[in-house]
Amino acid sequence: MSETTGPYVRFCQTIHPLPLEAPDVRMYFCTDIHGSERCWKKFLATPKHYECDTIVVGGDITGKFIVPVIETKRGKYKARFAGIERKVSSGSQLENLLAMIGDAGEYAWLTTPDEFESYAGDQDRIDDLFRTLILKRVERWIDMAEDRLGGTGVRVLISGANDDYFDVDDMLSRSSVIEDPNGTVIDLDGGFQMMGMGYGNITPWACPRDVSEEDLGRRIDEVMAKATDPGKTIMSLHVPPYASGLDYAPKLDEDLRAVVTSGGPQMVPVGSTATRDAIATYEPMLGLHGHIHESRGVRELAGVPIGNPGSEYSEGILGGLLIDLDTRHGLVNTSLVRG
Amino acid sequence: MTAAPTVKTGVPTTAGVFTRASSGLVRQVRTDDVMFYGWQQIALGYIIFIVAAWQFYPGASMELATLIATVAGLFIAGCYGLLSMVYPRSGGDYVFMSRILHPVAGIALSMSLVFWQLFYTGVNGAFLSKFGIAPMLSSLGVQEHSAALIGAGNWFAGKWGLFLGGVLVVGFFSFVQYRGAGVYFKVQRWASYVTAFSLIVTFITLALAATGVLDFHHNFDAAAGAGAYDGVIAAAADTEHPFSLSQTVFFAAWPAFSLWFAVLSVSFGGEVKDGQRSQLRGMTLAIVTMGGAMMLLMFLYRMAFGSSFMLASTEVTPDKFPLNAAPYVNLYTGIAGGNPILTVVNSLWVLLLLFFVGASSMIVATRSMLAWSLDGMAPKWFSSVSAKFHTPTWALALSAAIAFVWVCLYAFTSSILVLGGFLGQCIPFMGVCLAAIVFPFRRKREFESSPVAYRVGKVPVISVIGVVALICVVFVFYRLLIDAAYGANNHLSEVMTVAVTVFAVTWYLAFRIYRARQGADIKGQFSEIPVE
Repeated sequence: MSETTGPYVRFCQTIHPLPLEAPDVRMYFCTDIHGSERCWKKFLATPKHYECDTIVVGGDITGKFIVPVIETKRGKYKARFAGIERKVSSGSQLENLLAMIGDAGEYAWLTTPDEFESYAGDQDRIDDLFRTLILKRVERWIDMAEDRLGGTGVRVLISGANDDYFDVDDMLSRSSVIEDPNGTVIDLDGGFQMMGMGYGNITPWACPRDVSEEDLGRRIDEVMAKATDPGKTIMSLHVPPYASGLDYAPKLDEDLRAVVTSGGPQMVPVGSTATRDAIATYEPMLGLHGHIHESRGVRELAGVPIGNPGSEYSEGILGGLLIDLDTRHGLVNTSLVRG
Repeated sequence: MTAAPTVKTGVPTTAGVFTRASSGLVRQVRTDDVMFYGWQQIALGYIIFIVAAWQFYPGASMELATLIATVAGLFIAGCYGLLSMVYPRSGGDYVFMSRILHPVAGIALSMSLVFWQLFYTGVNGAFLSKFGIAPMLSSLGVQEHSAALIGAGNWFAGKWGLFLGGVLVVGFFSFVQYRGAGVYFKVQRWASYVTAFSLIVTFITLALAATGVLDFHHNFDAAAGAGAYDGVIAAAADTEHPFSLSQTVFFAAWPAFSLWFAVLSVSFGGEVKDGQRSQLRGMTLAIVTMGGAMMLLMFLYRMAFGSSFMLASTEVTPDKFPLNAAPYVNLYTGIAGGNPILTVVNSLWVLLLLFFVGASSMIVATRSMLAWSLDGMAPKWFSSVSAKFHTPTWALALSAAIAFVWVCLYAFTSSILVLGGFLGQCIPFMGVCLAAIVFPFRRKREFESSPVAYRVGKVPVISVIGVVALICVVFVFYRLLIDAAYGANNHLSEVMTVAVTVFAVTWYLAFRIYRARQGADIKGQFSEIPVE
């Protein structure tokens, strides 16, 4: 635990005349930050802000957009960002623009008009560019984590998920601070464990880790075979259980556009049946999920609490779930937070 | 991410930006979808009582007043549309106000909106009886010389008729939302086609009456007795008033009550963040098209029935009106058409719009309750869902209960009038306008990186739009307070407007203490994590 009391606990202490009994483990879980620099910096600040000893990103750490910043004349740049064409000069203006793009989870790419034209329409080259920019940012993020949290005792658990290239896992594995629960079981303090599963069911976007429900179920079973006691295990399954209330997303038409009814966008369950079966079968202490940004919440499935903190990464808002674990009582509290 | 049929299509992107195969990339909602939703919220059927209120504003031009309300509505839509571009997936005005103003402002203003939306869920059912079913039956009764139909029309306009309409709407929409609204949405889509057809027929009927092809004067006399038309005008006081700009501006609050609610589409969003201009465009189009339709209807009503007759018929006491029916324009449209089938067809758009707007109000309310619960500002059971239908059981039950109370109050007491809820609904409008004004200054970084970072000189455009919109809303709020003709300043409406706001603030503080005792602080839940 951090020695500096954060606003979260400070306020609680004004209400409680006696000091709050500290949980054995206070975990902060967030997910789907999708390359947002601002969300990452906030994530690294969560141990201090929320007084957590374990912080977790449940996958989808990489972004989806590249914003070409084109040098039109010497020292003059233009880019289309957030729907507005921005024209800036080199120096502080350019730096500000690059920072804004990074904070929104997008990758700024400094280029020339000719180079930009040579990429436009060539998805293979664009994908290569994505891979380069993504890995560069992940590498820098790992360095930041080591600088800020190395030697503090805070445990940092980060895994890739369906939108992340497999190369990201390799890079995470090289870190001395970060542990990756993806596809394995990690021991937590207090005798608890966490398993991770970044694979997801099939989406319309053909993502790197989309697999069939059968395959996903088999992979979960393989990992859970390593868990000592499912009742003291947190299952971090990126895709939420089907029809659990944490998996409602707008129904899309064939053009990937939300179907709007007289009641607004038609929301339908899009979670995984394999995940649902796994929660019901293993009855873990807690299910942690992400993937469906719109479906933030904490609910119960087969008597198991399950949570999805949602995501508003592009606005730089970090949604999270605070989890308090007690050796004697197991899971004692969950709270959705937005920082 | 979002759901889609398993059809491989191209990844949505936007000009000047590269994307890759990754989940959740969807296209913006269609502008026409937002517009259709706005039409639903505007509920053109309200024109029946809007036109009936014209008599209280001597010298007012209904069409010009509607134009003023339309223009003002565009500024309000500007605030909502632009803020929805900044927070495209956040769930609407509750989140804008929480983030830009303060969490307590978010919950207080959202509660106010929900409370008054539920007012209109129930009361719209009563409106269905009073302004839809009753005039249709009366019109049929007049044409068919059937005392039974006229009696039935009057029953629907009476206490139990209003109660039945309200209970029908609240009960029906609670049930279909509990069972999952998929079937309802399909039915509603077909109903929208029927509505459009009915409205077109009404325009044609009125145009024929306005040009003399159909003779309303003759048909009215045939139904009510020779000289009845002129008798109504003679029975009234002076109906010839010189044009008055001030009365026109005052009257504008009536069409505003209808047009301004196009903004409730604000919670739609998507992940391809290219400005999400479909919101702004859709709201704008909804207000402009429905404002235009309203003006055209008003013009045709005046041309078809005569301005003097319309004013006189709503001014005279019932004993001097020759028909045993309330003097609404849809009654006159039926009489002008002179055909029972045409009367039914001409009534359908009013019936359907008044019926379905109740559902939209209830959906807004239940979704907001879910959002409060997820933010820890309401009990968890607010967001608990039916295991079988996956619908928010308790939020629906609470919504239905509140709406039912309003139905009873509207039907059986004289404490609530038509615009009784508009006073309370102006408060969240003012909150969003204020949020638009201060957004560039309170959330400078977000403003600069947002799709709305436009300036005129050094002044942010969104702030300018917010100032104009706020002036319009404050003016209407003031008029609602001082002008008894709106019926919004009756004792119960005023008390409830204040009480809901006070209740919401108290609720916030109480929940904050309660949650803190559970070890979770609401303020801490929303405090921004400092970036180092």
